Parts: sequence; structure tokens; C-alpha cells
Amino acid sequence: MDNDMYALALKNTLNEIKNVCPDVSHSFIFKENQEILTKDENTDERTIKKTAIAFSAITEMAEIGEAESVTFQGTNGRVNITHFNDFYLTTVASNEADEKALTSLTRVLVPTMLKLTPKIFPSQDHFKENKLKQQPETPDNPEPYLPDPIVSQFKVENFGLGGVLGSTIAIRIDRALIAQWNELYGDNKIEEAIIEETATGKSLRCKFKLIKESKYEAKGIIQMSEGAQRALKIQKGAEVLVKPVIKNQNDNDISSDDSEPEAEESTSNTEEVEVYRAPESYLPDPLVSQFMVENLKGFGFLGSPDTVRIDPAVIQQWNELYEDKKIEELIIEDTVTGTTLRCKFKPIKDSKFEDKGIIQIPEKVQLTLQTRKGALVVIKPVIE
Amino acid sequence: MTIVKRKRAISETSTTIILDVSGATEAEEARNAIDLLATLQEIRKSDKVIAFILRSATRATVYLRDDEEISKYAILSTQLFDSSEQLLELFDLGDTENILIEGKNIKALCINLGEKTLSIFMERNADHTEILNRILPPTE
Repeated sequence: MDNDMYALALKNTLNEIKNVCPDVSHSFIFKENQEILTKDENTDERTIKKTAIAFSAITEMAEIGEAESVTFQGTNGRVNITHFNDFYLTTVASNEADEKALTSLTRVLVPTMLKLTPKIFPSQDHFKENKLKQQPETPDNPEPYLPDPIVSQFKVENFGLGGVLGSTIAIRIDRALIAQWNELYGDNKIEEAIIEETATGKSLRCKFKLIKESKYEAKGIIQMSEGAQRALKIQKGAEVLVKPVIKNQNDNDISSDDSEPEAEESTSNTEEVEVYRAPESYLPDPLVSQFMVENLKGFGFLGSPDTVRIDPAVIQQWNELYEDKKIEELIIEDTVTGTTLRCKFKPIKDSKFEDKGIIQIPEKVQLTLQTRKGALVVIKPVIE
Repeated sequence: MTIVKRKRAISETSTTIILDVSGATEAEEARNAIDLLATLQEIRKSDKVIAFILRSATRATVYLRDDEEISKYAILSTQLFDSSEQLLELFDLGDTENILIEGKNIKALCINLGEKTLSIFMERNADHTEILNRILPPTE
């Protein structure tokens, strides 16, 4: 995994943390070997080095197992260092900072980015090759700067009911990739993607939807209809590259392969490229939601002891977004341990817990999930 | 008061630790100190608390749940306060109030009590906020 890719994704994440918590004065990420991965503008490298040295003095002698997090609370603010994989995220905040919000962000947002980035960019070689192919920006280009389109590699999976979709060209891609695109390209429209077959170089341009089946999420998979697979002359299991077609405010495409944006067909330097357009519409999916655990007390005979209770508003949102899909179960993930559990759910009965970002979980389920009251969990619907 | 299980000199740390076997506070010590020890007595009843070290410039009161090595906790506690001082100075955040370190198995809460420092080692799922509030009740 290329550090540049991490750095870009993580720098944006740090900026988001600052946007949400303006009382954060410094934020940066360093590696175990004290190498700086990314940092904000307020922090110089010397400060990061000093922080890394002070922290390593603790970890070298930590008798408490591998240190996952340490918070130094001072009279005027606090320093928190949180360990994810090989990375150490440091945030420095004043006492006015919302501790809960900051903890949620640092323990959810950054680990999620770190977890997803390698899956979104599994082949760095392809990324480098495609970067070389991209046309350089003209120096007098008046358009605002946009990062180069990201190229990601995915494995093809079928979708649709066999021949029912016939020759329809439809693709579904990972929501994390969409989130990444939105993060990188801001307000620029991304309604289409270009799928390129890695062996032949054939490509297909079409609108996309998000993967709905959770079992395919974060697995480096792209779902393609039979029609789309036929267009690229590929089958399930093939590897393809996916890149966004970015439209700026003037609706000009800036994808690397689209120097002539309105062309139905274009030609690259080495291979003939066929470009198809499929008239599919984009439907947004809800993001994974985060909640704080609250005990669910009651009697087993009044209901299943394995059923959790969530905010009715969340259920309503799921129903609106997934319309005709049945959602009877959800997946809960403890944000610290990463333990996941699939279980049934019902709406919260007690109105005092509504709209509070709370999930009520029976103690038995808490034990299975290795979580407890006050801990943060993320949930996502299981769509059948 | 017998909150100390064993007596041991710690040579690894720069601070000399003299364990207070009797556990009693000296007569001239303020009532706050007595209250603190009483609170610690209560806290140690929790089976999730593994150890604590209450340290002043000249002595330390130690509790160990099992036959643990006190030296490793004492050294870590000292290092935590040292690192905290460095980092808080680096970012101009004043003096250390408390430190929380969470490991894979256990966590430690270190509190600056002015002339004394207190380090409590507990199991990962222990409620450190409750312990902190008992030691330093939040002021309204």
C-alpha cells in the first residue's frame, strides 16, 4: 500500500475531524518507526517527532499489553494518542472540545478509513500505471484543482437474476468507494464510472448504483450485470479497474480517459476502447450509523433476548431508502474490539432514548459482542 | 488499615518507594488523605481493580490484587507522568491532571493529586470514569 494514498485519504479525514471539532488544535498520524504519515497545517515535524518519542517511551515498557490508546489530560487541554494497526493518531484539543464527539471520530472515522483504504486500492501497480497515462493539466487551466481520478481494482461478481436483466448494463460498487470519491471530489458530480478490463484494456462507461448486499461490502468486489460483463467480454472473477467520471461545475468530464467527453467511443494509445453508456439512475445508500450502547432490561418471555432496540427514525430511514427490501436484521460492530454480531431489531419503546443516538442491547448480546453500556457501536442493515 | 500486601524496595525507578506497611496516614496529614485512603479501600474491593500505587515524595502505598510484580507498574506509572509532562509542555496544555492508558488487556488511570500521585491499574472493562469521579468528585 502506497503511503501517498493513505496520506491523502487520512489528511481529508483529519480535516473532517477539525471541521466537526474546531477545538482540536493539532492532529497528525505517525507510524511505529516514527515516520510521519500525515499532519495538519498547525503542526511541524519536530513536534510530531517529540510526540512519537514520548509515546514510544511508554509503549516500550507498557506492561498492560499493547497500548491502544493514551490520553494525557492537562489543566488547559488534552493529548490523545490512539493506535490503529501500525499507525498512531494524535489529537490535541482544548478542554472545550466535545470529548464524546472527538472520541467517536477518532475511534470510528480514522480506523474505518485505515481499514477501507487497502480494500479500495488493492493494486497499487495499476494505480501508478494509470497515473502515468493521465494527461497533465495545462498550466493556464482556469478550472479549480481536482485530484486525479482514483483508479481502484475490483473482482467481478454477478448480480441480477440471471437472464432477467438481459442485455441491461448495470453495475454496483462499494459504498466505501463512493464515500471516498465524494470526499476527494467534493461537490463535483460523479454519476458515472469507467470500468476497464485489466487484460484487454476494454472499458465500459456507465452509471452506477451501490452494492446492497452486505456480504459483498468491503470485499473489493464490483457487481456487474450479464450485459455489462458481455460488453467487456469478461466473466465473474475477472479483475477490473474502476475510476470515476468527474464532472466539474461546467459539467465537463475530467476522467483520465475522457479527453473528448461526449464521444461514444474513444481510443487510447495502445488498445481500442469501447465506451458504452447505460441510462441508470444513482440511488444513495445510508451510511453506517453509530450509536452508544444502553442496557436493554426486560423479561425474556416478553420478547427475544437476542433482539436489540434502535431508534425508530433509523428504521424509517432504512425503509425509505430500501423501499421494497426486507430488513429484519442488522449487523452491529463494536468500534473498539471490531467484534460483529448479526441480530434482529425492534424500535426503541422508551421515548427518552429516542433521537439520542442510543441502541439498547440486552446484556447477553453485549457479552457476545464484547461491548458494554456507554461503548460505541456501528450498525448497518442486513438487506435480504 | 492493611492495604499493603507485601514489602519491596524498588530499585528500577529514580524515586525511592518505601512501602507503608501499616497503611495508616501520619497524624499531621490532612483529612483529605484519610478520605482518599478510605476511598481506595472501597475501590480495591472491586474485582476489576488489579493494583494501585499512591505515591508521595517519600513513600508509597501499594495494593496488589494477586501476586503481581509491583515494579512493572511502578515504572510504567513513573514513565506515564514523565511523558505527560513532556507532551503537555510541548502543546502548552498546563500541568497533568490525569492520564488514561488503555492496553489490550488492562488499563491504567493515573491522577495527579498535588503532592501525591495515584495510579490505578484495572481490567479493561472496568469503569475508570466512576473511579475517577470517586477520587475526584466532579465539581458543579
